[in-house]
Amino acid sequence: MLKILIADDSKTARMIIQRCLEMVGVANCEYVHASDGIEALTIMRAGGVDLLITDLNMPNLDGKGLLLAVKSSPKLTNTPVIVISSLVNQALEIELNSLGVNSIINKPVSPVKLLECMESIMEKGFIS
Amino acid sequence: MIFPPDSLEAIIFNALSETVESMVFEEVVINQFVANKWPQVENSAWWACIELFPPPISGEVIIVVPDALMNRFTEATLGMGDEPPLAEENADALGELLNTLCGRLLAMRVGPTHTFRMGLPKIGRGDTMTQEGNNHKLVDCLVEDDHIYLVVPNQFWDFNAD
Repeated sequence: MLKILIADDSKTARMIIQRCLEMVGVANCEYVHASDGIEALTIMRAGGVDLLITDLNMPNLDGKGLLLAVKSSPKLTNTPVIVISSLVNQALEIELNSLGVNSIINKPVSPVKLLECMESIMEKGFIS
Repeated sequence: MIFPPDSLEAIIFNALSETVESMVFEEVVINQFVANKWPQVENSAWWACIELFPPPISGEVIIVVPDALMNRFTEATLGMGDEPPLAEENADALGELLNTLCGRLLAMRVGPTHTFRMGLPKIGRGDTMTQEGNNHKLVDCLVEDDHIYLVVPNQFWDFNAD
């Protein structure tokens, strides 16, 4: 069973993301929620996370800090990452891609946008 | 109101309608723009505020939503059933709505080559909203018969993308 970690300081945003994934058929999964980067990193270090979906603007440790920690950890670096944020434009996309992000979605998120990301990540063999 | 396609008023309308329609499935229209006016905030109304950090634009964006409409927004956002939303659910849903709206506003305004930053949403009710200074425009909007108000800093207009 796929374990998907959703990190966002807004419970509303986390629920919207999970609902969108369930709507496009990503149902047979274990969903885990984190409300900031530190909580997300703790969950990831405990192991078993197959996909990280994260916001950027979070308290304590933001999305970029979380990404840097994940990508610099030999144990976590291969975990695929989707960033879902309201801060995204072309300049930030370039920066995020250089940090090793697999896919980027602008808020508001939709099932269609998430489906495209999931298909792209699956096609590249990061998850199955 | 109909705005010229590339005007700043059109950017605000597009960001607002895109956010409200996709998150809470409601249509929004802009009634008027008023310089330096603060909204009348009923005691039960919800407000959320996000600080924009320079560069490129600084100031605060504020949204004010009446209580009954906020309940409807939260029910739609969370796909809730018969139970009315809890206060913390309304607060979180409004914060996320404004967070998304601010991101759209900034992305549309500053263009593809500038990055931008903003703070985390602060949420409150009634007259706890700070109303200081006169360096903003009030955007008076309608969702059906309910008014929602958006306060946008003048720097949004003054910023030069070039």
